[in-house]
Amino acid sequence: MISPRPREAAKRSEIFRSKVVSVGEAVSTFVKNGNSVAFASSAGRMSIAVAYEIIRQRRKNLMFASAGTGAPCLDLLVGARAVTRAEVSFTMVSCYNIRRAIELNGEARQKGYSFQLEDYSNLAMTLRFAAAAMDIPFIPTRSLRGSDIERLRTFKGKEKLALMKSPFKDRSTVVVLPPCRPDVAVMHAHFADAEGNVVAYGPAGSDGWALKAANHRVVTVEKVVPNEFVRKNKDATFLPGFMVDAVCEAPYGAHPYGLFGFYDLDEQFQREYALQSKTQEGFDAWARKWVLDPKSRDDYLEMVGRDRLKGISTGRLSALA
Amino acid sequence: MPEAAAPGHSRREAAVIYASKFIKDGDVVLVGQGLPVLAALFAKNHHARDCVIMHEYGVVDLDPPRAVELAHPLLAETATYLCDMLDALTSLLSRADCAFLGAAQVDRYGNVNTTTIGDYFRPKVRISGSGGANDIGSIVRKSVIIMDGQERAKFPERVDYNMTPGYFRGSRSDRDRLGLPGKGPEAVVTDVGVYRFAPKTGEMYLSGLQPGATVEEAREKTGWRLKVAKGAAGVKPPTAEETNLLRSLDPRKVYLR
Repeated sequence: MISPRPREAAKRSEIFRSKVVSVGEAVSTFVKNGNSVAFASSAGRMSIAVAYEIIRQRRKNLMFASAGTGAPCLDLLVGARAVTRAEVSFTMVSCYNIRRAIELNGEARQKGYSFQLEDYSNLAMTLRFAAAAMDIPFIPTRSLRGSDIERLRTFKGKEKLALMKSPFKDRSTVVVLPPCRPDVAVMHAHFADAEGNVVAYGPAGSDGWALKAANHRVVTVEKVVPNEFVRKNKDATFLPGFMVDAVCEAPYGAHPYGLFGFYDLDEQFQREYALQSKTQEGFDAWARKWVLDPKSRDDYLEMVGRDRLKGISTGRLSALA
Repeated sequence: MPEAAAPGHSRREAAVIYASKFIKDGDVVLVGQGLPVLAALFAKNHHARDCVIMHEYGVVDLDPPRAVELAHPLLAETATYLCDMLDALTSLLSRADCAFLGAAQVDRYGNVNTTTIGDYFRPKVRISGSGGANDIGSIVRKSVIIMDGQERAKFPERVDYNMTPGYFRGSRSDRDRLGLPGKGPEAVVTDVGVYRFAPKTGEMYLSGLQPGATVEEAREKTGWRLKVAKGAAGVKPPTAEETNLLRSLDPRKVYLR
Protein backbone atom coordinates (compact mmCIF):
# COMPACT_ATOMS: atom_id res chain seq x y z
CA MET A 1 0.00 0.00 0.00
CA ILE A 2 1.23 3.45 -0.82
CA SER A 3 0.94 5.78 2.12
CA PRO A 4 0.54 9.47 1.36
CA ARG A 5 3.49 11.69 2.07
CA PRO A 6 2.73 13.41 5.35
CA ARG A 7 2.26 17.09 4.55
CA GLU A 8 3.21 18.38 7.93
CA ALA A 9 6.56 16.62 7.70
CA ALA A 10 7.29 17.86 4.20
CA LYS A 11 8.38 21.45 3.78
CA ARG A 12 5.37 23.51 2.81
CA SER A 13 5.50 25.38 -0.45
CA GLU A 14 6.21 29.09 -0.17
CA ILE A 15 2.75 30.01 -1.39
CA PHE A 16 0.90 28.00 1.23
CA ARG A 17 -1.31 30.26 3.28
CA SER A 18 -3.76 28.99 5.84
CA LYS A 19 -7.33 29.88 4.97
CA VAL A 20 -8.46 29.69 8.57
CA VAL A 21 -9.84 33.03 9.72
CA SER A 22 -12.45 34.18 12.19
CA VAL A 23 -16.07 34.48 11.06
CA GLY A 24 -15.71 38.23 11.56
CA GLU A 25 -12.71 38.44 9.23
CA ALA A 26 -14.38 36.23 6.62
CA VAL A 27 -17.47 38.43 6.49
CA SER A 28 -15.53 41.70 6.45
CA THR A 29 -13.36 40.40 3.61
CA PHE A 30 -15.91 38.58 1.45
CA VAL A 31 -19.33 40.10 2.14
CA LYS A 32 -19.47 43.73 1.05
CA ASN A 33 -22.45 46.04 0.95
CA GLY A 34 -24.37 45.44 -2.27
CA ASN A 35 -22.99 41.91 -2.79
CA SER A 36 -25.06 38.92 -3.76
CA VAL A 37 -24.84 36.16 -1.17
CA ALA A 38 -25.93 32.54 -1.57
CA PHE A 39 -26.65 30.43 1.48
CA ALA A 40 -26.24 26.71 1.09
CA SER A 41 -29.03 25.46 3.22
CA SER A 42 -31.30 23.01 1.60
CA ALA A 43 -30.02 20.04 3.55
CA GLY A 44 -29.49 21.76 6.89
CA ARG A 45 -25.98 23.10 6.40
CA MET A 46 -27.02 26.64 7.11
CA SER A 47 -24.28 28.88 8.40
CA ILE A 48 -26.35 30.75 10.93
CA ALA A 49 -23.03 31.90 12.38
CA VAL A 50 -22.33 33.89 9.20
CA ALA A 51 -25.88 35.27 9.08
CA TYR A 52 -25.41 36.58 12.63
CA GLU A 53 -22.05 38.10 11.69
CA ILE A 54 -23.53 39.87 8.65
CA ILE A 55 -26.04 41.46 11.02
CA ARG A 56 -23.28 42.41 13.48
CA GLN A 57 -21.29 44.08 10.71
CA ARG A 58 -24.47 45.90 9.61
CA ARG A 59 -24.26 45.00 5.95
CA LYS A 60 -26.80 46.68 3.69
CA ASN A 61 -28.33 46.24 0.28
CA LEU A 62 -27.41 42.58 -0.11
CA MET A 63 -28.95 40.30 -2.74
CA PHE A 64 -29.83 36.91 -1.28
CA ALA A 65 -30.03 33.65 -3.24
CA SER A 66 -30.82 30.12 -2.19
CA ALA A 67 -32.50 26.93 -3.33
CA GLY A 68 -34.49 25.20 -0.65
CA THR A 69 -34.90 26.17 2.94
CA GLY A 70 -32.51 29.10 3.12
CA ALA A 71 -35.51 30.89 4.55
CA PRO A 72 -34.28 31.10 8.17
CA CYS A 73 -31.11 32.89 7.04
CA LEU A 74 -33.12 35.20 4.80
CA ASP A 75 -35.54 35.92 7.62
CA LEU A 76 -32.69 36.96 9.93
CA LEU A 77 -31.20 39.23 7.27
CA VAL A 78 -34.55 40.79 6.32
CA GLY A 79 -35.29 41.41 10.00
CA ALA A 80 -31.99 43.29 10.21
CA ARG A 81 -32.75 45.04 6.90
CA ALA A 82 -29.49 43.80 5.43
CA VAL A 83 -31.13 42.30 2.32
CA THR A 84 -33.14 44.25 -0.24
CA ARG A 85 -33.62 41.59 -2.91
CA ALA A 86 -33.95 37.83 -2.86
CA GLU A 87 -34.07 35.14 -5.53
CA VAL A 88 -35.37 32.11 -3.72
CA SER A 89 -37.69 29.14 -3.96
CA PHE A 90 -38.99 28.91 -0.43
CA THR A 91 -39.91 30.99 2.58
CA MET A 92 -41.77 29.67 5.60
CA VAL A 93 -45.01 30.62 7.29
CA SER A 94 -43.01 31.19 10.47
CA CYS A 95 -40.68 33.68 8.71
CA TYR A 96 -42.43 36.75 10.06
CA ASN A 97 -39.72 39.23 9.05
CA ILE A 98 -40.07 38.20 5.41
CA ARG A 99 -43.84 38.30 5.66
CA ARG A 100 -43.86 41.78 7.20
CA ALA A 101 -41.63 42.98 4.39
CA ILE A 102 -43.83 41.78 1.54
CA GLU A 103 -47.39 41.53 2.83
CA LEU A 104 -49.82 44.30 1.94
CA ASN A 105 -50.17 45.62 5.47
CA GLY A 106 -46.63 44.81 6.54
CA GLU A 107 -45.18 47.51 8.75
CA ALA A 108 -41.81 47.23 7.00
CA ARG A 109 -43.42 48.31 3.75
CA GLN A 110 -44.97 51.29 5.43
CA LYS A 111 -41.73 52.34 7.08
CA GLY A 112 -39.85 52.59 3.83
CA TYR A 113 -37.76 49.43 3.89
CA SER A 114 -37.81 48.08 0.39
CA PHE A 115 -37.55 44.34 -0.02
CA GLN A 116 -38.41 42.44 -3.17
CA LEU A 117 -38.57 38.73 -3.71
CA GLU A 118 -38.44 36.79 -6.98
CA ASP A 119 -40.02 33.34 -6.78
CA TYR A 120 -38.34 30.34 -8.37
CA SER A 121 -38.62 26.64 -7.58
CA ASN A 122 -36.04 24.45 -5.85
CA LEU A 123 -35.01 22.83 -9.10
CA ALA A 124 -34.92 26.15 -10.93
CA MET A 125 -32.56 27.74 -8.39
CA THR A 126 -30.38 24.63 -8.31
CA LEU A 127 -30.17 24.64 -12.11
CA ARG A 128 -29.31 28.35 -12.08
CA PHE A 129 -26.42 27.66 -9.71
CA ALA A 130 -25.35 24.72 -11.87
CA ALA A 131 -25.38 26.92 -15.00
CA ALA A 132 -23.11 29.43 -13.25
CA ALA A 133 -20.86 26.64 -11.99
CA MET A 134 -20.50 25.29 -15.54
CA ASP A 135 -20.25 28.78 -16.99
CA ILE A 136 -22.99 28.28 -19.56
CA PRO A 137 -25.30 31.18 -20.53
CA PHE A 138 -28.61 29.48 -19.74
CA ILE A 139 -30.05 26.12 -18.80
CA PRO A 140 -33.33 24.43 -19.84
CA THR A 141 -35.90 22.71 -17.66
CA ARG A 142 -39.28 21.03 -18.08
CA SER A 143 -40.32 22.53 -14.77
CA LEU A 144 -42.20 25.85 -14.27
CA ARG A 145 -44.01 25.67 -17.62
CA GLY A 146 -47.45 27.28 -17.62
CA SER A 147 -47.24 28.33 -13.97
CA ASP A 148 -47.41 31.80 -12.43
CA ILE A 149 -43.75 31.36 -11.51
CA GLU A 150 -43.17 31.50 -15.27
CA ARG A 151 -45.70 34.29 -15.92
CA LEU A 152 -45.26 36.78 -13.06
CA ARG A 153 -42.02 38.59 -12.34
CA THR A 154 -41.00 41.17 -9.76
CA PHE A 155 -37.60 42.85 -10.07
CA LYS A 156 -35.97 40.49 -12.56
CA GLY A 157 -38.45 41.17 -15.35
CA LYS A 158 -37.24 39.62 -18.62
CA GLU A 159 -34.12 38.33 -16.87
CA LYS A 160 -36.14 35.93 -14.73
CA LEU A 161 -36.55 33.23 -17.37
CA ALA A 162 -37.60 32.74 -20.98
CA LEU A 163 -39.12 30.16 -23.31
CA MET A 164 -37.07 28.51 -26.01
CA LYS A 165 -37.71 25.98 -28.72
CA SER A 166 -35.29 23.10 -28.83
CA PRO A 167 -33.03 23.41 -31.91
CA PHE A 168 -32.98 19.59 -32.14
CA LYS A 169 -35.46 17.29 -33.69
CA ASP A 170 -38.00 17.10 -30.87
CA ARG A 171 -38.62 20.89 -31.22
CA SER A 172 -40.33 21.12 -27.86
CA THR A 173 -40.57 24.44 -26.07
CA VAL A 174 -38.89 24.59 -22.68
CA VAL A 175 -38.25 27.14 -19.98
CA VAL A 176 -34.67 28.40 -19.97
CA LEU A 177 -33.11 29.93 -16.89
CA PRO A 178 -30.24 32.40 -16.49
CA PRO A 179 -27.24 31.44 -14.34
CA CYS A 180 -27.12 32.65 -10.75
CA ARG A 181 -23.56 33.63 -9.89
CA PRO A 182 -23.35 35.02 -6.36
CA ASP A 183 -20.42 37.15 -5.23
CA VAL A 184 -20.05 34.83 -2.28
CA ALA A 185 -21.57 31.53 -1.14
CA VAL A 186 -21.67 30.44 2.47
CA MET A 187 -22.05 26.99 3.97
CA HIS A 188 -21.72 25.34 7.34
CA ALA A 189 -20.06 21.91 7.25
CA HIS A 190 -18.53 19.31 9.49
CA PHE A 191 -14.77 19.61 8.99
CA ALA A 192 -12.19 21.43 6.89
CA ASP A 193 -8.44 21.69 6.88
CA ALA A 194 -6.35 24.83 6.64
CA GLU A 195 -6.11 24.42 2.85
CA GLY A 196 -9.88 24.67 2.59
CA ASN A 197 -10.70 21.04 1.82
CA VAL A 198 -14.22 20.66 3.13
CA VAL A 199 -15.43 17.35 4.56
CA ALA A 200 -19.20 17.18 4.73
CA TYR A 201 -21.72 14.42 5.29
CA GLY A 202 -25.41 13.98 4.68
CA PRO A 203 -27.83 14.91 1.89
CA ALA A 204 -26.38 17.60 -0.36
CA GLY A 205 -29.42 19.66 -1.35
CA SER A 206 -28.21 22.35 -3.74
CA ASP A 207 -25.21 23.17 -1.57
CA GLY A 208 -22.48 22.00 -3.93
CA TRP A 209 -23.93 23.89 -6.87
CA ALA A 210 -24.41 27.10 -4.88
CA LEU A 211 -20.78 26.98 -3.74
CA LYS A 212 -19.40 26.11 -7.17
CA ALA A 213 -21.45 28.92 -8.72
CA ALA A 214 -20.05 31.67 -6.52
CA ASN A 215 -17.00 33.84 -7.03
CA HIS A 216 -15.92 33.32 -3.41
CA ARG A 217 -16.76 30.69 -0.80
CA VAL A 218 -16.80 30.97 2.95
CA VAL A 219 -17.23 27.72 4.85
CA THR A 220 -17.79 27.57 8.59
CA VAL A 221 -17.11 24.20 10.21
CA GLU A 222 -17.58 22.41 13.48
CA LYS A 223 -13.87 21.67 13.63
CA VAL A 224 -10.71 22.53 11.72
CA VAL A 225 -8.83 19.28 11.14
CA PRO A 226 -5.31 18.39 9.97
CA ASN A 227 -4.72 17.62 6.30
CA GLU A 228 -4.19 13.92 7.16
CA PHE A 229 -7.78 13.68 8.34
CA VAL A 230 -9.00 14.80 4.92
CA ARG A 231 -6.72 12.34 3.14
CA LYS A 232 -8.12 9.55 5.25
CA ASN A 233 -11.73 10.62 4.74
CA LYS A 234 -11.52 11.81 1.14
CA ASP A 235 -14.69 9.90 0.20
CA ALA A 236 -16.49 12.61 2.10
CA THR A 237 -14.57 15.61 0.74
CA PHE A 238 -17.29 17.91 -0.51
CA LEU A 239 -15.20 20.67 -2.04
CA PRO A 240 -11.50 20.78 -2.93
CA GLY A 241 -9.41 23.29 -1.05
CA PHE A 242 -8.56 25.36 -4.09
CA MET A 243 -12.21 26.30 -4.42
CA VAL A 244 -12.54 27.65 -0.89
CA ASP A 245 -11.53 31.14 0.20
CA ALA A 246 -12.08 31.07 3.95
CA VAL A 247 -12.51 28.42 6.63
CA CYS A 248 -13.88 29.47 10.01
CA GLU A 249 -14.24 27.29 13.06
CA ALA A 250 -17.73 27.83 14.47
CA PRO A 251 -18.97 25.02 16.71
CA TYR A 252 -22.76 24.63 16.50
CA GLY A 253 -22.58 27.07 13.60
CA ALA A 254 -25.96 25.91 12.28
CA HIS A 255 -27.74 26.33 15.63
CA PRO A 256 -30.75 26.45 16.05
CA TYR A 257 -30.86 24.29 12.91
CA GLY A 258 -29.36 20.84 12.73
CA LEU A 259 -26.23 19.32 11.25
CA PHE A 260 -26.33 15.71 10.05
CA GLY A 261 -24.53 13.40 12.45
CA PHE A 262 -23.72 16.21 14.91
CA TYR A 263 -26.84 17.76 16.39
CA ASP A 264 -30.59 18.03 15.91
CA LEU A 265 -32.77 21.10 15.65
CA ASP A 266 -33.22 23.25 18.75
CA GLU A 267 -36.99 23.42 18.48
CA GLN A 268 -37.50 25.48 21.60
CA PHE A 269 -35.10 28.15 20.34
CA GLN A 270 -36.83 28.18 16.96
CA ARG A 271 -40.24 28.63 18.56
CA GLU A 272 -39.02 31.52 20.70
CA TYR A 273 -37.49 33.18 17.65
CA ALA A 274 -40.72 32.87 15.66
CA LEU A 275 -42.77 34.25 18.53
CA GLN A 276 -40.46 37.23 19.04
CA SER A 277 -40.10 38.08 15.38
CA LYS A 278 -43.83 38.57 14.92
CA THR A 279 -43.13 42.29 15.38
CA GLN A 280 -40.11 44.36 14.32
CA GLU A 281 -39.63 45.52 17.92
CA GLY A 282 -39.67 41.91 19.04
CA PHE A 283 -37.11 40.91 16.43
CA ASP A 284 -34.88 43.90 17.27
CA ALA A 285 -34.89 42.88 20.92
CA TRP A 286 -34.17 39.26 19.96
CA ALA A 287 -31.28 40.34 17.72
CA ARG A 288 -29.84 42.55 20.42
CA LYS A 289 -29.88 39.69 22.91
CA TRP A 290 -28.68 36.84 20.69
CA VAL A 291 -26.66 38.52 17.92
CA LEU A 292 -25.39 41.97 18.88
CA ASP A 293 -24.71 41.63 22.62
CA PRO A 294 -22.81 38.30 22.82
CA LYS A 295 -19.11 39.09 22.72
CA SER A 296 -18.11 35.87 21.03
CA ARG A 297 -19.37 32.58 19.67
CA ASP A 298 -18.53 31.00 23.05
CA ASP A 299 -20.54 33.67 24.79
CA TYR A 300 -23.54 32.81 22.58
CA LEU A 301 -23.20 29.09 23.23
CA GLU A 302 -22.97 29.74 26.99
CA MET A 303 -26.21 31.73 26.76
CA VAL A 304 -27.92 28.91 24.88
CA GLY A 305 -26.66 26.60 27.59
CA ARG A 306 -24.15 23.76 27.41
CA ASP A 307 -26.67 21.28 28.78
CA ARG A 308 -29.20 22.22 26.15
CA LEU A 309 -26.61 21.81 23.41
CA LYS A 310 -25.63 18.45 24.83
CA GLY A 311 -29.31 17.52 24.75
CA ILE A 312 -29.56 18.05 20.98
CA SER A 313 -26.17 16.52 20.15
CA THR A 314 -26.19 13.19 18.36
CA GLY A 315 -22.44 12.76 18.26
CA ARG A 316 -22.10 10.04 15.65
CA LEU A 317 -19.84 12.04 13.32
CA SER A 318 -18.41 14.48 15.85
CA ALA A 319 -16.43 11.54 17.27
CA LEU A 320 -14.51 11.24 13.96
CA ALA A 321 -12.09 14.08 14.71
CA MET B 1 -65.19 24.28 12.38
CA PRO B 2 -67.50 21.42 13.40
CA GLU B 3 -65.52 18.33 14.30
CA ALA B 4 -68.07 15.61 13.58
CA ALA B 5 -65.53 12.85 13.93
CA ALA B 6 -66.60 9.29 14.40
CA PRO B 7 -65.58 8.03 17.83
CA GLY B 8 -61.98 7.01 18.13
CA HIS B 9 -60.35 9.15 15.43
CA SER B 10 -60.29 12.73 14.26
CA ARG B 11 -61.05 13.69 10.68
CA ARG B 12 -57.44 14.67 10.17
CA GLU B 13 -56.36 11.20 11.20
CA ALA B 14 -58.96 9.65 8.89
CA ALA B 15 -57.72 11.82 5.98
CA VAL B 16 -54.07 10.88 6.54
CA ILE B 17 -54.88 7.18 6.76
CA TYR B 18 -57.10 7.30 3.67
CA ALA B 19 -54.47 9.18 1.67
CA SER B 20 -51.79 6.69 2.66
CA LYS B 21 -53.65 3.96 0.75
CA PHE B 22 -52.65 5.61 -2.52
CA ILE B 23 -49.15 4.28 -1.82
CA LYS B 24 -48.82 0.64 -2.90
CA ASP B 25 -46.12 -1.69 -1.66
CA GLY B 26 -42.98 -1.18 -3.70
CA ASP B 27 -43.91 2.31 -4.90
CA VAL B 28 -41.29 5.01 -5.11
CA VAL B 29 -42.81 8.14 -3.60
CA LEU B 30 -41.57 11.72 -3.50
CA VAL B 31 -43.00 13.26 -0.35
CA GLY B 32 -43.53 16.97 0.34
CA GLN B 33 -43.91 18.99 3.54
CA GLY B 34 -46.64 18.63 6.13
CA LEU B 35 -49.23 15.86 6.38
CA PRO B 36 -47.80 13.99 3.35
CA VAL B 37 -44.82 13.09 5.57
CA LEU B 38 -47.10 11.35 8.05
CA ALA B 39 -49.24 9.67 5.36
CA ALA B 40 -46.14 8.17 3.74
CA LEU B 41 -44.73 7.05 7.07
CA PHE B 42 -48.04 5.37 7.88
CA ALA B 43 -48.03 3.54 4.53
CA LYS B 44 -44.51 2.32 5.15
CA ASN B 45 -45.42 0.98 8.57
CA HIS B 46 -48.75 -0.47 7.53
CA HIS B 47 -49.45 -1.78 4.03
CA ALA B 48 -46.41 -0.73 2.00
CA ARG B 49 -43.36 -1.86 3.94
CA ASP B 50 -41.23 -1.86 0.78
CA CYS B 51 -42.20 1.54 -0.58
CA VAL B 52 -39.30 3.93 -1.08
CA ILE B 53 -39.89 7.34 0.48
CA MET B 54 -37.73 10.20 -0.69
CA HIS B 55 -37.42 13.93 -0.02
CA GLU B 56 -36.32 16.44 -2.59
CA TYR B 57 -33.20 17.64 -0.76
CA GLY B 58 -31.50 14.32 -1.34
CA VAL B 59 -32.74 11.71 1.13
CA VAL B 60 -33.85 8.42 -0.38
CA ASP B 61 -35.47 5.34 1.19
CA LEU B 62 -35.85 6.78 4.64
CA ASP B 63 -37.44 4.78 7.43
CA PRO B 64 -37.61 6.85 10.63
CA PRO B 65 -39.04 5.37 13.81
CA ARG B 66 -41.26 8.44 14.34
CA ALA B 67 -42.49 11.48 12.43
CA VAL B 68 -40.18 14.51 12.45
CA GLU B 69 -39.94 17.75 10.47
CA LEU B 70 -38.90 17.45 6.84
CA ALA B 71 -35.35 18.72 7.34
CA HIS B 72 -34.65 16.81 10.56
CA PRO B 73 -31.21 15.10 10.47
CA LEU B 74 -32.82 11.89 11.76
CA LEU B 75 -34.39 11.23 8.35
CA ALA B 76 -31.06 11.08 6.56
CA GLU B 77 -29.68 8.81 9.29
CA THR B 78 -32.19 6.13 8.27
CA ALA B 79 -31.79 6.46 4.48
CA THR B 80 -30.07 4.08 2.07
CA TYR B 81 -29.07 6.73 -0.46
CA LEU B 82 -28.14 10.37 -0.13
CA CYS B 83 -27.81 12.68 -3.13
CA ASP B 84 -28.31 16.28 -4.12
CA MET B 85 -31.39 18.20 -5.15
CA LEU B 86 -30.54 18.20 -8.84
CA ASP B 87 -30.50 14.42 -8.82
CA ALA B 88 -33.60 14.08 -6.64
CA LEU B 89 -35.72 16.49 -8.67
CA THR B 90 -34.72 15.22 -12.12
CA SER B 91 -33.44 11.67 -12.61
CA LEU B 92 -35.01 10.16 -9.48
CA LEU B 93 -38.25 12.13 -9.67
CA SER B 94 -38.94 11.10 -13.25
CA ARG B 95 -38.74 7.45 -12.16
CA ALA B 96 -40.96 7.81 -9.09
CA ASP B 97 -44.43 6.25 -9.12
CA CYS B 98 -46.13 9.18 -7.44
CA ALA B 99 -45.76 12.22 -5.22
CA PHE B 100 -47.60 13.36 -2.13
CA LEU B 101 -48.02 17.11 -1.81
CA GLY B 102 -49.66 19.51 0.60
CA ALA B 103 -51.56 22.65 -0.45
CA ALA B 104 -52.84 25.89 1.05
CA GLN B 105 -55.23 26.33 -1.90
CA VAL B 106 -56.33 23.92 -4.58
CA ASP B 107 -58.84 24.97 -7.23
CA ARG B 108 -61.51 23.45 -9.44
CA TYR B 109 -58.94 22.14 -11.90
CA GLY B 110 -56.35 20.93 -9.44
CA ASN B 111 -54.03 23.92 -9.66
CA VAL B 112 -52.18 24.38 -6.37
CA ASN B 113 -51.10 27.50 -4.54
CA THR B 114 -48.87 27.72 -1.51
CA THR B 115 -47.21 31.02 -2.42
CA THR B 116 -49.39 34.08 -1.72
CA ILE B 117 -53.00 34.83 -0.85
CA GLY B 118 -54.46 37.87 -2.61
CA ASP B 119 -52.72 39.84 -5.35
CA TYR B 120 -49.23 38.44 -5.93
CA PHE B 121 -47.62 41.88 -6.02
CA ARG B 122 -49.43 43.11 -2.91
CA PRO B 123 -50.17 39.87 -1.07
CA LYS B 124 -52.49 39.68 1.90
CA VAL B 125 -50.50 36.70 3.12
CA ARG B 126 -47.17 35.30 2.07
CA ILE B 127 -47.21 31.56 2.66
CA SER B 128 -44.10 29.69 1.58
CA GLY B 129 -43.53 29.56 -2.16
CA SER B 130 -42.88 26.51 -4.27
CA GLY B 131 -39.96 24.77 -2.69
CA GLY B 132 -39.89 21.73 -4.93
CA ALA B 133 -43.67 21.57 -5.36
CA ASN B 134 -43.77 23.05 -8.85
CA ASP B 135 -40.98 20.76 -10.02
CA ILE B 136 -42.64 17.71 -8.53
CA GLY B 137 -46.11 18.58 -9.85
CA SER B 138 -44.67 19.28 -13.30
CA ILE B 139 -42.52 16.19 -13.62
CA VAL B 140 -43.81 13.31 -11.47
CA ARG B 141 -46.03 10.66 -13.08
CA LYS B 142 -48.98 11.44 -10.82
CA SER B 143 -49.58 13.22 -7.55
CA VAL B 144 -51.92 13.06 -4.58
CA ILE B 145 -52.71 16.27 -2.73
CA ILE B 146 -53.50 16.25 0.97
CA MET B 147 -55.21 19.27 2.49
CA ASP B 148 -55.96 19.80 6.11
CA GLY B 149 -59.03 21.80 7.16
CA GLN B 150 -60.92 22.18 3.90
CA GLU B 151 -62.80 25.48 3.67
CA ARG B 152 -64.24 27.60 0.87
CA ALA B 153 -61.26 29.99 0.67
CA LYS B 154 -58.88 27.04 0.32
CA PHE B 155 -61.03 25.41 -2.38
CA PRO B 156 -61.61 28.37 -4.74
CA GLU B 157 -62.83 28.40 -8.33
CA ARG B 158 -59.35 29.63 -9.24
CA VAL B 159 -56.18 29.79 -7.15
CA ASP B 160 -54.78 33.25 -6.38
CA TYR B 161 -51.40 32.17 -7.78
CA ASN B 162 -50.90 29.13 -9.96
CA MET B 163 -47.78 27.83 -8.30
CA THR B 164 -48.14 24.21 -9.40
CA PRO B 165 -50.36 23.68 -12.44
CA GLY B 166 -52.95 20.94 -12.43
CA TYR B 167 -55.31 21.07 -15.39
CA PHE B 168 -55.13 24.88 -15.88
CA ARG B 169 -58.57 26.30 -16.84
CA GLY B 170 -60.19 22.95 -17.53
CA SER B 171 -58.17 20.92 -20.00
CA ARG B 172 -56.03 17.88 -19.32
CA SER B 173 -54.45 18.16 -22.77
CA ASP B 174 -52.93 21.55 -21.85
CA ARG B 175 -50.29 19.65 -19.92
CA ASP B 176 -49.15 17.81 -23.05
CA ARG B 177 -49.35 20.94 -25.17
CA LEU B 178 -47.07 22.77 -22.76
CA GLY B 179 -44.68 19.84 -22.45
CA LEU B 180 -45.24 18.99 -18.79
CA PRO B 181 -43.97 15.42 -18.40
CA GLY B 182 -46.28 14.44 -15.49
CA LYS B 183 -49.92 13.51 -15.88
CA GLY B 184 -51.12 15.79 -13.08
CA PRO B 185 -52.98 15.27 -9.80
CA GLU B 186 -54.86 12.02 -9.34
CA ALA B 187 -56.79 12.88 -6.17
CA VAL B 188 -57.22 15.43 -3.42
CA VAL B 189 -57.82 14.12 0.09
CA THR B 190 -59.14 16.49 2.75
CA ASP B 191 -60.71 16.16 6.19
CA VAL B 192 -64.08 16.42 4.41
CA GLY B 193 -63.83 14.30 1.31
CA VAL B 194 -61.92 12.52 -1.38
CA TYR B 195 -61.92 14.23 -4.75
CA ARG B 196 -60.91 13.07 -8.19
CA PHE B 197 -60.62 14.71 -11.60
CA ALA B 198 -62.85 14.33 -14.67
CA PRO B 199 -61.21 12.56 -17.64
CA LYS B 200 -61.20 15.39 -20.23
CA THR B 201 -61.63 18.68 -18.40
CA GLY B 202 -59.76 17.70 -15.26
CA GLU B 203 -62.57 19.20 -13.19
CA MET B 204 -62.48 18.13 -9.57
CA TYR B 205 -65.48 16.21 -8.28
CA LEU B 206 -66.43 14.58 -5.01
CA SER B 207 -65.85 10.85 -5.09
CA GLY B 208 -66.12 9.96 -1.39
CA LEU B 209 -66.81 11.43 2.03
CA GLN B 210 -64.72 11.20 5.16
CA PRO B 211 -66.51 9.55 8.09
CA GLY B 212 -69.04 12.00 9.53
CA ALA B 213 -68.99 14.41 6.58
CA THR B 214 -71.93 15.13 4.24
CA VAL B 215 -72.32 16.22 0.62
CA GLU B 216 -73.84 19.50 1.89
CA GLU B 217 -70.76 20.16 3.98
CA ALA B 218 -68.46 19.42 1.05
CA ARG B 219 -70.46 21.83 -1.15
CA GLU B 220 -70.43 24.50 1.53
CA LYS B 221 -66.66 24.26 1.78
CA THR B 222 -66.09 24.43 -1.98
CA GLY B 223 -65.90 27.66 -4.00
CA TRP B 224 -67.60 26.36 -7.18
CA ARG B 225 -70.64 24.23 -7.99
CA LEU B 226 -69.17 20.94 -6.93
CA LYS B 227 -70.16 17.89 -8.92
CA VAL B 228 -70.71 14.68 -7.01
CA ALA B 229 -69.96 11.21 -8.37
CA LYS B 230 -72.89 8.81 -8.62
CA GLY B 231 -72.95 6.76 -5.48
CA ALA B 232 -70.39 8.91 -3.65
CA ALA B 233 -70.71 7.67 -0.12
CA GLY B 234 -68.71 7.56 3.05
CA VAL B 235 -65.27 6.03 2.61
CA LYS B 236 -64.23 3.22 4.90
CA PRO B 237 -63.31 4.74 8.25
CA PRO B 238 -59.97 3.81 9.76
CA THR B 239 -59.92 0.89 12.13
CA ALA B 240 -58.89 1.31 15.75
CA GLU B 241 -55.71 -0.57 14.94
CA GLU B 242 -54.90 1.89 12.12
CA THR B 243 -55.62 4.93 14.27
CA ASN B 244 -53.45 3.60 17.07
CA LEU B 245 -50.59 2.91 14.68
CA LEU B 246 -50.86 6.42 13.23
CA ARG B 247 -50.73 7.98 16.70
CA SER B 248 -47.77 5.86 17.69
CA LEU B 249 -45.88 7.18 14.65
CA ASP B 250 -46.32 10.79 15.77
CA PRO B 251 -45.83 10.61 19.53
CA ARG B 252 -44.59 14.20 19.74
CA LYS B 253 -47.55 15.45 17.71
CA VAL B 254 -45.50 17.14 15.03
CA TYR B 255 -48.37 16.60 12.58
CA LEU B 256 -51.31 15.49 14.71
CA ARG B 257 -51.50 18.70 16.69
